[in-house]
Amino acid sequence: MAQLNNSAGAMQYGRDLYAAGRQALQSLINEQADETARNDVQASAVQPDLESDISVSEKSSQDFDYEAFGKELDAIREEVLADIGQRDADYIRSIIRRQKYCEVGGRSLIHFSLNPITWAVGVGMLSVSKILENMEIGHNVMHGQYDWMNDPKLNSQSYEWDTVCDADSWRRTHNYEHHTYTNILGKDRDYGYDVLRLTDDEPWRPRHLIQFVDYLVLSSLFQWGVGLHELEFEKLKKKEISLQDKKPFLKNFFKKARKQTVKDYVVFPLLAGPLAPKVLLGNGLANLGRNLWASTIIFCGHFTEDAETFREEDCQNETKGQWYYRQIRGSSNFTGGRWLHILSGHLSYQTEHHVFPDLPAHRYPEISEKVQKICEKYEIRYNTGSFGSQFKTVLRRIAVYSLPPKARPRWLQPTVYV
Amino acid sequence: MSNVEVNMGSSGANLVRVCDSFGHYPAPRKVPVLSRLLNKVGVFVAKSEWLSEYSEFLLTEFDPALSFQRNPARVLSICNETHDTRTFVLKPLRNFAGFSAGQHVSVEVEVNGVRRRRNYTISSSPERYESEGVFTITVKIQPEGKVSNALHSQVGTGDLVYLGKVSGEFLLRNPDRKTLMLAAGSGITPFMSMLEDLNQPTHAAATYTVAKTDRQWVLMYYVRSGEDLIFGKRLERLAQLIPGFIYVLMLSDKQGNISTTQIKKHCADLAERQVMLCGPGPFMDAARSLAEVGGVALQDIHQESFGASIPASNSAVLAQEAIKKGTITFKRSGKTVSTDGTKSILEVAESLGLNPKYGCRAGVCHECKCAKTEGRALNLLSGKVMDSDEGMVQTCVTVPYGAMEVDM
Ligand code: FES
Repeated sequence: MAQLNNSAGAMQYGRDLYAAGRQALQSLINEQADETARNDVQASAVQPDLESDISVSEKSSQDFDYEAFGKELDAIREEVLADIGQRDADYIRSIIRRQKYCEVGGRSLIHFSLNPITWAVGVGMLSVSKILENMEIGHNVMHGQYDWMNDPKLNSQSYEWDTVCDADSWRRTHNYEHHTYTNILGKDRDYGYDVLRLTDDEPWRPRHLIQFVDYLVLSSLFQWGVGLHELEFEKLKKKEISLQDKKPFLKNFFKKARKQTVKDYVVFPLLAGPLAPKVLLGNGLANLGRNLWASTIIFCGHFTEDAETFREEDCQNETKGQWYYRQIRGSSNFTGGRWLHILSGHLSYQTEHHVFPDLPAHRYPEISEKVQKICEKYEIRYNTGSFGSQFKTVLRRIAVYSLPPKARPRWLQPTVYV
Repeated sequence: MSNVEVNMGSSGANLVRVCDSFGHYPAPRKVPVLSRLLNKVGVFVAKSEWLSEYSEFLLTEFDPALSFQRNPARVLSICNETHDTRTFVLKPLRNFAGFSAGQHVSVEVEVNGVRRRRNYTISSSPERYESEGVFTITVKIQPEGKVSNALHSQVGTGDLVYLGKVSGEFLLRNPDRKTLMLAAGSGITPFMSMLEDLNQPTHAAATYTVAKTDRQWVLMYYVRSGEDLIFGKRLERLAQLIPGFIYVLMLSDKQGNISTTQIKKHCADLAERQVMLCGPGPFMDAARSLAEVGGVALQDIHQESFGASIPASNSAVLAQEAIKKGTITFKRSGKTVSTDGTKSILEVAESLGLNPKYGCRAGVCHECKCAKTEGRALNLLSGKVMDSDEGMVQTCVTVPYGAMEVDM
């Protein structure tokens, strides 16, 4: 704390200097941009168009004070950062302990169970362990939430998690692309994973008719979908990129996938000797359980009916305040008990997670109260509801947009929120 | 020899002994067969990631001292040297390769959830480690020192600390040459290790024919007042035991700061000597220039700095200096540039033609994170100055705070 107070002067000074530097740089960039624009007739024709587009789409932008709004959120962040310490370290370590006991216990039960009940308990424990490891530990550690602890095992850049998705690939696609371009159609590749159509802004195709089946398949094989996300299948199909471009990615993907498969489907079953099939089945079910759970939580975070989408042109030259606004409007929370939050990796507080992706997630409940107050003050809809009701709107959304607007029956119209 | 036991209020119920002398401990029991067997198992376990992770977990759950991935050392006892300095007797539990007299070791403790490391000079002889399996570090509380404060207030007898690398080039290389040792304050620690080493019958110096009256090794030890004197009795005793070792205590509140007259009084032959310096920055600067003026060859002056090399950030002026006059060394490409705080580390790296990875460039995604191997940095998002032992920086929103090095 002393450190913080003492460096307050430095902090202000540093920021001023930094801001000045940025501004100088920005004006330089703008000048250059102007020049290219002047040289390029087409570009200059596009420029004014874009501007008018922004003013049309953000009708409220004149009376909405994004700057003050952003500052209030910044203040929350600083408050939490100043308070981070032992409590947060103890929390994540206790979760890691439980997860490890759960895994050791689960695997032992699967191996040594004498009846189907103990076996099923083992499968459940292994599944819970995988869920905890992926959601509350892996996902959050990789966001840099615990880097301040200086613990090499909790280092965002070197952490590797228990799923077929390679951690480096995840850091690129999720931490950067998804969190920076959240819910911007065409830029946030997490939006519908290019499998599901979740807005009328996307053209309808006959294949969307059965997107509910796609959804079930995607959910069951979620870890594989996530693992192959960076392959950019849609671009491959359109021949925008070639398989050759994706070679380095595929190499890493296969390396990680092999490691995971060997562990769950070869080594552990073989250790059980003649009882290998029950271990194989148990591990498979544990992975399936984790897949279904993870996909459900993630769908509830961005694909509820009230979660907004954005267009690329609206988000150019976005300020910090506007970025915050998009994060809040593009995310949705759900309520529930403490362990529901923990098992969801606190993605039940998706809104807070998107506003402050690198603050320790177990702090989101306390942060949420403050965020809700700010949202009330600025009259921004804060999207939350019970787990069940939110999930229902996700299913409904998938169903609604599987049909083109004209073909929808009365009872299957998008819900209008006001 | 009296072992007075005092109960220190600040560290709870830990017993802290007042040191008076060499305080020896029984040699560790050795179980070569078992430990070799365990090593074999260890190597096998380490090969499998999953196994090593989970066996480390289960072992440390049972007893943290069983960690084989970290390098634990048990605090066997703690002695008060002065009102603000304590000596910790540490027993490395495994993976410790030993050290040479004058070297320092990095010690890690957890402070408010953060693992922090500092280098401390080892203040006991290598021989003692070999015979008893222990060594000591002597720690003075630094006003803003997170680790020194934690060692004093939260580490007690029986606790574990974790050891890192042993390093340092400040060694008594030519003991056969006449030497002047200049120490100030807690800068005495490396000399303590060297002198106890000299006292060993096995030491090379034992073969020299040094008469009691020779002034072979002269130690001039500067402290502010008698209150700040560390190792007083041990030094007196070593002066009796080692032929040719002269110990001179200088109290600067009575005798004033270091001067040529003082040095000449005890070492008339200064120009022929090798000089070893250890103490706070101003003391070393003064001592060094006196030695140079006194005719000591440059290659014969050896020095060790200790304590924070960068001024603490308690004044805004110093902080501004640190930001305005930062430098970044890119470890892998070997380039060093000076910065003025207007460009982030990422931008500086790019301007040098490096290709660091990045994502949002706004402090959101942590894709630009890079290991900081040396020095301090200012995170512009949090406004926090990151200490030299805080390993990772978000290069897109961080500027150097003084001299720093990144692994790029
Ligand atoms: S590039 Fe995203 S945090 Fe630095």
